[in-house]
Amino acid sequence: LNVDRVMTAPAVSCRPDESLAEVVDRMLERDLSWLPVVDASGRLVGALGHREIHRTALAAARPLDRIEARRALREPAWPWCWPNDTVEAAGAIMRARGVKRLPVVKPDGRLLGVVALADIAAALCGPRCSLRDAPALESAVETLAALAS
Amino acid sequence: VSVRALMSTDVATCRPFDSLGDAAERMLRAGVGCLPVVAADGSQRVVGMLSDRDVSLAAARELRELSELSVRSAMTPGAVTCEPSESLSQALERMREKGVRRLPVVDHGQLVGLLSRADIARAVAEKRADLELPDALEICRALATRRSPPREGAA
Repeated sequence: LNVDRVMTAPAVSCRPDESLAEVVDRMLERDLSWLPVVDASGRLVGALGHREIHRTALAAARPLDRIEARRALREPAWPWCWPNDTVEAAGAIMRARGVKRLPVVKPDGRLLGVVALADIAAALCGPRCSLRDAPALESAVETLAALAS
Repeated sequence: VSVRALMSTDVATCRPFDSLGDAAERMLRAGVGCLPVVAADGSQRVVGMLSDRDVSLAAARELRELSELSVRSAMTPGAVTCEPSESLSQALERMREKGVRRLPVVDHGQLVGLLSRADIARAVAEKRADLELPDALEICRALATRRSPPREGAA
């Protein structure tokens, strides 16, 4: 199962020159906890979530409307994946890098969509997943529990 | 398996009159996305919950520095809680019913721990929770829930 089958596309994103106040407004409006950041041509330059916003706001000691999103980009850069990565590979990236969501990037570097641990969980343990197929289920549960913990 | 066996006990908290700057720093340092808010009287009575989303919301609404805002102005008052002696399935049921991802664990009215879905997932991964497969599936489906519905009646 590949990422492009479970991802959300197109993705809501923001630009590096927007203010963090605009970014937070969009996150709250769309009920998201993070946003990928793309340049004018749609290429991924990073991503940020509440944690990055708070760290930047504390360091800048300024209100959010006076801080540009580019200042909150995570260092090292937020990890990402390709659409033809398997969900297990995407999950491994999330686990290794301590995030629960990844931007999905086209070969030309432009943002295609986003994939969340929740999407992977739904794919592995969704309604189609049957208690009758115990070995498959057990392995899915193990994968997922390891990812989520 | 009981809540006591799975809960985290070293819980970072904040108080209503702490600044949001202090609370945000505590969250970053502890690597958590949520702090139980305990009473201003110095006890461990839970009076609300402060999530990273609450902090961002207040900062974007007020357009002031985090150090100039208070926890009280940003927190979600009240909390859905559980007790250490309750079973994991009772706690999971309450999380699902109330649409929350974490439950402060309260004993005789005082905060003694926090039970999160991540704690439960960890226990499943370590095969520590002694869970039946249907329960494990249930947990994984809970993890697959994208976002909690509004916390109505969170009292």
